This record gives sequence, structure tokens and C-alpha cells, in this order.
Amino acid sequence: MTEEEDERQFVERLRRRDEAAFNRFVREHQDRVYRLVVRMLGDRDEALDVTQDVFVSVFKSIDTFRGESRLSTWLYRVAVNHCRNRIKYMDRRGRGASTRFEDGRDGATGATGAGVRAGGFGRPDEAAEAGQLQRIVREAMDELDEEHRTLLVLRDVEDLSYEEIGAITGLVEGTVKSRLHRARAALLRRVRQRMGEEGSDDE
Amino acid sequence: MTSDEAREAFDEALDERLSPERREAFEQALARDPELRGEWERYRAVIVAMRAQARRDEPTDFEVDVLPAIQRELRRRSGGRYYRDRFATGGGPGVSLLLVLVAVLLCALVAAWLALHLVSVEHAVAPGVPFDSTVRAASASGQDAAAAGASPSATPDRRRQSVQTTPSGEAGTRYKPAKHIS
Repeated sequence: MTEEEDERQFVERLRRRDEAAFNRFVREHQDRVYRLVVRMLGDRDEALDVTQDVFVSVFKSIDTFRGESRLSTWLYRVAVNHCRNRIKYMDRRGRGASTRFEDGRDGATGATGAGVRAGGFGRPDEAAEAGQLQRIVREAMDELDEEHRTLLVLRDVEDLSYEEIGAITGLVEGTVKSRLHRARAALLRRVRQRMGEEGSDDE
Repeated sequence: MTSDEAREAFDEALDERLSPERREAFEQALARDPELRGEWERYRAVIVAMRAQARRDEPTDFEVDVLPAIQRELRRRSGGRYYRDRFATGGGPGVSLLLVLVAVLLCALVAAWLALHLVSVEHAVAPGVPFDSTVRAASASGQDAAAAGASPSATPDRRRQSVQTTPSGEAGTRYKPAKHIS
């Protein structure tokens, strides 16, 4: 039996609201969805809440899955949509940057900054520089709009292909590339502003 | 590759999508233009820092299981249509069912003990008919000694006699005193 056939039959079970199948589906995907949502929202409590909502939505709306993409891609799309809505909601309530990763870890420690070189910024202590840059990048990420943040997370963190990102966001591949470029440029501009480098003209 | 062309290739270079020829041209453009190289290094550093930051902030509590909460929510929203019981939720029989099973087993054991105890009581309350004589009578009639001990009226003759002499007419009275039996 092919993988496609397997998935088709599994989707049929989900459509019949087969609870055992849904349990399996949640167990197989909850980690990945939770990780994506944490990265999108930056708040673990919110991420847990959204992750649950994502699977509840899947259970309710599995009939709308037309099988034009992988089930996991469709799940990602549902998750991204939930994240976008939650980001807008959090922004309206004035949350976001201040609640990102509340575990007290400070990027200035630079403990895991190995491999990161901030050579363009001309600071003497590269380790501290890398840690500081990570903290600044994290803050700059929070300031991005939800579309830019989504593209950056999907491409640069989740390491998805342009094709997969297109399937998740509903954008054609060329649009994904151009918008990702704009997202990266926007991130760079905000980082430079935070580092006191005026004249952010890197786009 | 000009400097502007190289700027446009930043994303391709970052994603390692440049062909070997274009990669070489890109490197040459960076070598020719120090300003371009500075821009490239800043661009790359920010993206690399973002990736490193994401890895660093990666949640380690992946063992968090959202399934029970999802099941509760679905049960609530569906009015109990889905995930009605613990078997459906994958939680197994649970403690309550085990306790019920233990209680049933205990009841069965108590009932068995009481049944055996009553047999002993029957023999004890049958004056005039020693247990030994009942056993001997049963043995003499070719019956199994255990069968004889199961009831004082185990032999057909004695059962008939007992029923006939019951004043209240309660057929099958098993605790009829033996003295009424002639």
C-alpha cells in the first residue's frame, strides 16, 4: 500500500471521527505543532492553548480537507492561521514583545551563540556580541507583522521549502520568495535601528 | 556579477541555492566591493542569529501531552458525543473499574464462603442425626460421601419424609429436625 493510500484511508477515519485515529494523529503531530506555535507566538502558555485549539479545529473541520496537499501541510496551515489570529489578538491587547519567552534566559550570556558571527557590527567580544545580537533579533522579531514573522519562522526556523511554505500560506512560490526577502530586510532594518545604526537602507 | 546583482542574490546565497558558477561570481563581487561585503555579512549575521535564537528558545517540555485537554474539550463541545469514556480517550480502564472488579471478586468469595458455612451449620443444627451416621448412610447407599454431606436430606427417602412431616406445609424445608423423621 502506498503512502498516499495510507494517508487517504487515515483521513477517511478522521472524517468518520474515529477517536483512536484522532488520538494517533494528535500524538504524532503535537510536538511539531507546539514547537511551531511557540516560535510564532513566543509565549509557551499561549502556545499550549493555541495548539489545543488547532487540533480541535482539525477534528471539527477535517471534512474541508480536500487532499490537495499532505495532511501535515494542511495541519500546518491551520496552525499558522490560528497563530496569526492570536498574534493579532495579542497585539490588540498590547501584548507580544514583553511576554516572549518568559523563562528568564538572557541572550547576553551567549551560551549557545557558537557559530554566530556578528562581524558586520564591529564589536570586540564576539561571544557577547553574538548573545546580544540574538536578544536584539528576538526583540526585533516581535515587532514584525504576523506575515513577515510567519515566513521567517517557516523558512529560517522550520526550514521548510518554498513549495511547502506556499502550500501553507496559499502564496505562489515567487511571491513567497519576494515576501520572504522583504521579511528578512524588515528584520535587518529593525535590528540595525535597535543597535543604533541609523540609515537603515538595506532593502 | 555586479554589486546590485549580488545584492539581489543575497537570499539565494543564504539559502544555498546558488549554482557553483553563480556562487563563484557572487564571491568575486563581494571581494571587489567591501561595502557590499559588509552588507552581506550583516544580512547573514541577523538571519543566522535568528536561527540560533530559535534553537536556543526551543521548548524542551515536548513531553507535554495536549491530548487529554483536547479530548475534554471535544467531549464538552460535542455534548458527550465524542470521548465519552476512558477507553475512547485511550486512558484505559482506570482505577474505578479496577475497584469495581475487586469488589465483585470479594462478593463472590464471601458468597462462596457463606454457602460452605451454611452446609456446616445444617449438620450442626440436626440433632439426633450425627454427621457420621449420615455419611455412613450415604456410603451404604452407594452415594458419594461429599454428596451426602452437602445436605441432611440428600437421600431421596429422607427428603420425602421431611416434606411429609412439615406442619406448615412448607415443601422442601431443609432444616427439619430429624426427630420428626420416623
